[in-house]
Amino acid sequence: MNLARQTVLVGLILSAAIVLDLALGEGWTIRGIRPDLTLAALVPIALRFGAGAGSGWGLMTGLILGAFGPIALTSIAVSRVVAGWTVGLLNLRVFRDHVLVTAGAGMIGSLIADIGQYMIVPLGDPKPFLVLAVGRSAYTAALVVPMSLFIRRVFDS
Amino acid sequence: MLDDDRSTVRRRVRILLLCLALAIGLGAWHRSAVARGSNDPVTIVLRTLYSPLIRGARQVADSLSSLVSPIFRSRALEKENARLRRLNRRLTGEAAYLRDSAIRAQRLETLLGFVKTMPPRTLAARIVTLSLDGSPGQIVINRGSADGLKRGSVVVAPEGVVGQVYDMTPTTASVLAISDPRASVGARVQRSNGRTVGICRGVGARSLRMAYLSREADIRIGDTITTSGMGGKNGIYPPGLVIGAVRSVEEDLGSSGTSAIVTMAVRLDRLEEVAVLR
Repeated sequence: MNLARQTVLVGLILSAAIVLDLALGEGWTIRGIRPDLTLAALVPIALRFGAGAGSGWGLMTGLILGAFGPIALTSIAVSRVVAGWTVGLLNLRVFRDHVLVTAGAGMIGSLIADIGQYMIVPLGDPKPFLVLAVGRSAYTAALVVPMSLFIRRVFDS
Repeated sequence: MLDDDRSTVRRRVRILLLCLALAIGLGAWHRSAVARGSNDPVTIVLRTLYSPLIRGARQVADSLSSLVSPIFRSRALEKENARLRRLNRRLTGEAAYLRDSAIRAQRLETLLGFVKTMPPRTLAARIVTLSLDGSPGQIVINRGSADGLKRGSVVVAPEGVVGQVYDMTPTTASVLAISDPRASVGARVQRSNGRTVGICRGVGARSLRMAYLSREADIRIGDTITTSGMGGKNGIYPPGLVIGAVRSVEEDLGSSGTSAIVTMAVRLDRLEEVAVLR
């Protein structure tokens, strides 16, 4: 698959994830924990294409999510860049197709995104925030696995 | 081999730094534009592109849900219908009583020479996005500066006050919910006829803390809290809008007074439409 086609496909997948996240994300909430659907799509992409692509696509998703929030654009964009880059570093260093590795990368990515955002703009008490962030990372990790299978299918075909 | 590794690491770090610089630069641009009450071109373009897609996805999901849910919810709907009929009968009676009270109040106001204030103009708006956890209170509506909205315009739902417009593009606006930790609103206890007043600050998750109450403040669990028309960080809310109900009252060790935890009347996660007071 050539680079242009690959870029368009990744852009479309991430855009679809963002639209679903912003439009229907609330409906996925379980016990007050809302999964990060955008990150669930970003993690397998970063794992597959590496740190550079992870940070670039992290920036794009951060800017779009930030455009729909009142003031937190910098924190969202920066935290997503760092999350995409860190997860992308695992590219080729781990057996990325293993389900546990994929889920673990999802947890790490989600925690980095949430904690990074909190460190830039702390909102409320840290303890409940941390509980929420851990719950969210587990939920997001569970979604990263099917998303990863989907992405593997799209790009391997 | 080692040189290859080093150059790969350097390239990755360069890309990271470039992305971080872009994120920080665009964030700073966005922040300064928001401080002026407008928005930066990148945000305007992204919102213009994505808002119709998000609205479309919500509408499709709503239509599917309304098609499918009655099949599973017919018994629950019957119960709900019976409950709403009972509520309707009770509210019809209350409305008649309130109409009568309003006529009497109007007569008395005229007698006392009060100036009748015009109700503010309202504009209906639909929710484009809601994000209520990690970044509390992020709500985007499908009205913007082209519809005459201003920074600080108050957003309400039938149950009570939602928040204030924070920033705008020509076709959309961000609303800072009153439950957001960055928001504050002048409040009073409805039962006390305005004698017990304080400031409500968001503490996230549909809760607010009503602070600056004296130790002897007349406030109880279940009391309705309304806007006082005074104070607040980003401008003044008109008086009499319902904020919520008192969930608990506790001693405020910091100020040697009392504070109350208030549950917001509006369920933000169920919001579909709102009205903006202009």
